[in-house]
Amino acid sequence: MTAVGGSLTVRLLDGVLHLPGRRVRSARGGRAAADRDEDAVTLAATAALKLLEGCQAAPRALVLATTSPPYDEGGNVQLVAELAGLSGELFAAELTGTVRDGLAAARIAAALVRAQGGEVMVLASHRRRLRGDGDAGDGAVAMLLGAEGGVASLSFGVSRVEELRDRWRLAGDPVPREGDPSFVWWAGAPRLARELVAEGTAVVGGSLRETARAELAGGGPGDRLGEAAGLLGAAHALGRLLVGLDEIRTLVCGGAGLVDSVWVEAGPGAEEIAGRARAVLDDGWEGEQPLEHELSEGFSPYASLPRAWRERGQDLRLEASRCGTCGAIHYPPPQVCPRCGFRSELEHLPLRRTGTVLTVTRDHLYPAARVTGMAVVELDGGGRFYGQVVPSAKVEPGARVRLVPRRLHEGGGFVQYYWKIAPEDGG
Amino acid sequence: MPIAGEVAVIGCASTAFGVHHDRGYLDLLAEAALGAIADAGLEPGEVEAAWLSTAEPGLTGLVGDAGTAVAEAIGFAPRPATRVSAFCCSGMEAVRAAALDVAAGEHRLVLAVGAEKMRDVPSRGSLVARTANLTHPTLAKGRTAPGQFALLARRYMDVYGARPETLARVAVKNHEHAVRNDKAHYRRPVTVDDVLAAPRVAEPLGVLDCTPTTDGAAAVILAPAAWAERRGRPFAVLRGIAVSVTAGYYGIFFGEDADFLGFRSTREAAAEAYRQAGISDPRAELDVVECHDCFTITEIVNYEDLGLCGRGEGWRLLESGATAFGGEIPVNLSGGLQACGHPVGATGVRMVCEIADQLLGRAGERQVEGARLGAAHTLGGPGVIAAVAVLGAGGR
Repeated sequence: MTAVGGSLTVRLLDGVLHLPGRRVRSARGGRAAADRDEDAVTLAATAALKLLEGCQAAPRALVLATTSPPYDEGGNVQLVAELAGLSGELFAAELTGTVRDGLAAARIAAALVRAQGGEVMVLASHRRRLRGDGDAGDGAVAMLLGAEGGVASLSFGVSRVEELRDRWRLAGDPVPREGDPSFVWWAGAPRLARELVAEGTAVVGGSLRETARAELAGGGPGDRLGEAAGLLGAAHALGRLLVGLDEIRTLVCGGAGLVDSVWVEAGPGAEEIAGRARAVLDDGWEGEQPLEHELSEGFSPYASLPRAWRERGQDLRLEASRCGTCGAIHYPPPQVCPRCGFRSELEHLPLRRTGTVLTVTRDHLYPAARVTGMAVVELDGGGRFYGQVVPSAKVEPGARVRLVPRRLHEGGGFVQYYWKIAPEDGG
Repeated sequence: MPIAGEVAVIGCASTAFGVHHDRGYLDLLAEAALGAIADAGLEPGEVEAAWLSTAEPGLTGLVGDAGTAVAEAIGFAPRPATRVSAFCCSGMEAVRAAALDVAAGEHRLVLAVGAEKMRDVPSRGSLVARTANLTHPTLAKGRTAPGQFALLARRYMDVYGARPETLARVAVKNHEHAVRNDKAHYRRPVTVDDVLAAPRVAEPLGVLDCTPTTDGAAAVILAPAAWAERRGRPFAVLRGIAVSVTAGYYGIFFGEDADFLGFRSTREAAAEAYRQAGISDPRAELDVVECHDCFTITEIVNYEDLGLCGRGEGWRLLESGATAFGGEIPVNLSGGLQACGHPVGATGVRMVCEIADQLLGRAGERQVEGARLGAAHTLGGPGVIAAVAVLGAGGR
């Protein structure tokens, strides 16, 4: 097996692991469980936003990997790009096939870096299915790759293609199927890992058990991410990469006969990134699996494609306007400044995402759920946000909060995403 | 010419407010309109123009979507009939439009009728779903009417130290008043405990902090005051009427200036109506008030916004008993929206009828002795629009 210095090497500039705070205990251990209004798009967008908060980045491309995309057709990466505030001339693509696709997305991103320079963002996320998703958990990873700088080198190595059905779902089927475990163990991703058998090799396969057995054989670092959060689908390989950035030397990931691998050479700063990712593992609270959608009968909200497109700035990017005359910040952006009237000049700017709660209620009447928390937030930097509180939290006046991307509802057959209010510390 | 002092209310009538499964929208409209016409001593054919207030025609299958409904209800052809739509201020806007019609000299005898049939569809829950269904997504993101006033209630209590028991006393007072009003939807007293124990709607508001969902209609006939004077029958005079719009479709709750302690629309509309009526001290000069108590908290902030007391003192004014029957400045002797209910388009017109009846000495057990000046207030949007009308006793 070729080591570092293979054909495709890039620098890891930054990386973030995002897990929902809730941990649900099951017979298999613990897993991260998102709210009923989160999906692979919102989880990926949240990870991207956390990454962008921490570093000034203007990626020229975005590659998303998830095996639980909300849209089977029509694309998901556009939503993530808008919610993350990425803009301009951006190349965006998505991979939705297998758990291997997180690494594949990183490889493609690396190739883009090498080909055209600049920075490329890699996102991977998973939202557990209602049925048939056994040891899966919810979460997302965001990474930024570039040609130089950063905390580690990633060199993409051996990859393989074979037709092998280990875990699959035909179009239109709601529940995935899995092959016989002994066959999958013998033929699947762990097969490559057994061949590598070297210290510091992390393996990600279609299930945690495969993963664990392969690593046992090879002296790998152990899957702390899997134990704490469950298997994060296409995000699992990249998640393990971050959590073990200072101790993993090779990472192998396989799904359904597609296998990819990467060599890691960690430098100064890698420990800090790994430390932050490990802290996310510990930063959870015990809870029950939340109920899925509680929509009441007959709730079919007004939906318009042209309106959604026209107002995507205010809906997805939280675009507000500031009056050039009086400085007031208005959201949604009005036609004229309510204070100055027609004397105003309005410029667009995104709302800040953090603020303090002014007043709250818990609404038992709104038909989308049994109880909906609502709050008015005075945002840092000016402007107000009036909207829903995330289902898992309660906030009181004076609380510090942040705005997070969530799934609002479906009308007209498409998903309306918007922002909700969450405690700032994610508690 | 301006309206103030020049336009008279020469007849008024109201249906009972409640759940009327036996009567449809047009039946209610006809009952109120024909009742007001008869009360004015007129024949239907003498009415020259009509202004219709209906806020939610979607609940009736779009009957009442245009003023043309008046033609069906009272055989009005070929006169002009126009629907106005201004959320909860629709009723008073119809009165104001009719007053403008008369003041402009365009027509002499003009009908303003408000009608709303809300119970042909399952009540509140379904209405909320419908509203959420039809509403622009920025607003449908969890907004309900009680949900918005609940934000006010919480802020008001946090800032001024009022307690939930105080809010409950608005409901207790108004339900007690309604015992004397045979047209009210609910006519039995409630206690503070009843209100606090009622199922929660939007915390801290519960079912008894909220106006019920109600059918009803009310109508007034307006004419030039000089004409009414010559005629010799008792009448009430519009001393002032004003509408103020301070925000638009997205409402006030997104705005940086919203303090969640009152409504600028009410303050502006009141200031203008009082200016027209020559009122400088509303608490001292007004004898009776009907205000928009869609929720208990709303009546409390209305006291402040209508100038009956200072900012932050509304809850003390309530607790003092001054706004109850027999008090210094009685508010909502009809039972208000709390007990009468709120057929949205009808409410503003009902309030004008109630004040007119007080001024004409026809308020029966609710009568304020020697009432000479009264005010009516509605608030819609919520909060983006308010209307205030001041009426005085006409020449006798």
